[in-house]
Amino acid sequence: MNNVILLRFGELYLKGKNRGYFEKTLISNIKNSLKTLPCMIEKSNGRYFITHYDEMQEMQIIDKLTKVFGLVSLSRAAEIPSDIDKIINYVSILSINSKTFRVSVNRADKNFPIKSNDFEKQLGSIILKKNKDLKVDLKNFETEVMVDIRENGNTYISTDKISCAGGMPLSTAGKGLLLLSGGIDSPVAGYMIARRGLSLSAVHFYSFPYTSEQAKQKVITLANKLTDYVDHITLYMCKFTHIQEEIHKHCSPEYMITIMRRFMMKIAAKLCKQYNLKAIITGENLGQVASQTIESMTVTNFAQTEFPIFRPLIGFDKQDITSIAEKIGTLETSILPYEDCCTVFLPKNPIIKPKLDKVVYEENKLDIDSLIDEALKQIEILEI
Amino acid sequence: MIYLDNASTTQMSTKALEVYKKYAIDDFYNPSAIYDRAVKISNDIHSAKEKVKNVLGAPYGEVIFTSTATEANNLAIFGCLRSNFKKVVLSSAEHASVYNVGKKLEERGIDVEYCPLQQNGEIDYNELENILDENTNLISIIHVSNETGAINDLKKINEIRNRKCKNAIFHADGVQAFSKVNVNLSYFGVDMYTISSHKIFGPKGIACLYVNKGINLKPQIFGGGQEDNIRSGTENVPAIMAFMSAIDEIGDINKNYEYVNKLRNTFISNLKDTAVKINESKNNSPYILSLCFSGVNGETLVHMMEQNQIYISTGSACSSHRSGNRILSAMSLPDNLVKGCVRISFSKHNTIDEITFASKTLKDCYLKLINTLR
Repeated sequence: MNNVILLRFGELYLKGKNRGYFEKTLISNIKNSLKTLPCMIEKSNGRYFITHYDEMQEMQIIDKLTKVFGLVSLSRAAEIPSDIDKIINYVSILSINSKTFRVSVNRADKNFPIKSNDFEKQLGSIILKKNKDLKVDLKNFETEVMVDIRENGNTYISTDKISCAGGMPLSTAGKGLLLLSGGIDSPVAGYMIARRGLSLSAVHFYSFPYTSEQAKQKVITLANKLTDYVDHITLYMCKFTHIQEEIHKHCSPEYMITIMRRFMMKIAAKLCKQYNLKAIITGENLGQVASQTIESMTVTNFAQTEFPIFRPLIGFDKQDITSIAEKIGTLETSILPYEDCCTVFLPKNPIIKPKLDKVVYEENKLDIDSLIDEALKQIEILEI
Repeated sequence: MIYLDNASTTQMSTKALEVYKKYAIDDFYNPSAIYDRAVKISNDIHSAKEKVKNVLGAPYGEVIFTSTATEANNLAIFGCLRSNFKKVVLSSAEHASVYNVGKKLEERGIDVEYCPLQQNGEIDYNELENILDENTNLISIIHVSNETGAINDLKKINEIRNRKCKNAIFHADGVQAFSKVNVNLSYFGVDMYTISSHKIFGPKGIACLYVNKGINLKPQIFGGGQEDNIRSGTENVPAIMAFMSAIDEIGDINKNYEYVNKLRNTFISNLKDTAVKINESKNNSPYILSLCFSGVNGETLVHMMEQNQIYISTGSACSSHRSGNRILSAMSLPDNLVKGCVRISFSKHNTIDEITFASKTLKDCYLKLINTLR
């Protein structure tokens, strides 16, 4: 008997003619995520398994796999020859720590002599004999004993199904640029969009000396946490201080945030163009703060029109976002109390429904191009 | 580089480092072992304790080495805690390592009162007189405020203690006082006193608690029975001995005091015509200068100074990660001033030239900032 980890793919099966590409990318991503853990990926009759691994590293392997986009679930399984006695022997020594269970048999190998339904009943009664307190519940079971009889002559028996990240394999959708602030939302936005197959680079705007070195470190930590899911991030650190000082000096205070956001979009678009990134991703969420009204977003959208702006959190409640941040491990860093650039020069009454012509009028008091050029020249690039 | 955050930590002296290396490499033996080389180390630790007692002016008690002053403060309070304790009195100026112990005691149902501060940062002695009563079992009051440098009059506090609750135990956190102002525990009448090595050019990871005769502390860490069974764990011999070396290097406290006072006065005089409030008492340690600038964020000033390679802080390092400042607020400073506070902390190694340059730079930074924000 060997221990294996059985992998289940998600929507890849909907992909028709492109399925090969998606599958190949997913396998390559899995291999990449397990590169430090010796093991093999085997394919057998349409199923993928992780085999030949050190049992001591099983939990580490599973932890990595649950973060690979494109996998919906996995199961630890025992691989045994498809022999009735051997299967029965194995099932009879299973310990099940729950009150209810069911057995489901999948007989891909039609030469196996007992029909699925009959074998389910047979195995179920063996388990019941061994575990007196256990009850069968076909609908609301706590444990499912899955017996998968494959055409390769082996049967895979598992009792657990571990959920994975789901979504689409990373990089199948290209690469985008995430505006990473240091707050709770933007790392979650990055996670959500990466889950749809988009690889990530990120840009962070900081305002030293108004914000601290610690605030920068915080963003690096957040990007690092995201690499659990996205493998690698190029982080562009953009010094935003002079732009903010100039806006503060020359423009009407209530437009501070709107104009700042537009500068960020313009800089992001330049980076997209320079580094062949296909979209801008933000953590904006309708109605959360003044810059997140429809009017504000419209005005922000017009700052550049070359690249689409994805806002994967647009319809989420803060609580939902916080839960995801907790799940992906970014929350504890996001809530560290360092100021970010958006809290510097914060006006008392930011405009909630800005009008484009008025914003452009205010903005034109500045030498926009040279400010952007100056910011781009100072960008520090970190590979994370 | 100009380092003016000496209340946060200091650079270890070369001599202390040499001693550290000697006891880490040549004399590395475990003082609990029974062969001659180890016994010598055990004797060295014994001598170290005698040295600490002498320098604190308290020859009769015990010295317990701990890993940090935070641990020593915790040991002082939790160690003397008894089930019949009714009331513990702290001050609002306490360092987090005493203040947060107070919060824990409150959770355990003990009446913990915090003596308010005067606007100059010292405790309000009249209020202390009112707070102390026959139910008070323990008093812990900081000797020199780590935020402002205000020196609390420990002798006066002891007199109040003797009048109001003579059986109460009196602990003082002397981390910012030791080696900087005159300390004589017998004269002050203090029962327990905490000092730390890394504030006086010694290594990090070592501090100690002086405990007067007659005070029975309960151990908080159990094990092999080191430190008279009060604090188990193999002694950090290299750090203890390097700490002693730093003590040997203190020099003339009064002379240092005068010199640093000159540095502080120079700093202050270079800030004239600036909208700055100096948080100080008549009886203030010259080693700490707490300044509140109006209309700006202290953190921004710290970073602007950092751009000039001058290192100051927004407040004590143990509180600078939190918003606001508990101690300055307790001195009745309004929030807008608290926000604009920075702390400059000097050492005897700073030069007048450094101070002149740093103070002028701070003034320039402030003026530039206020001009930008206008």
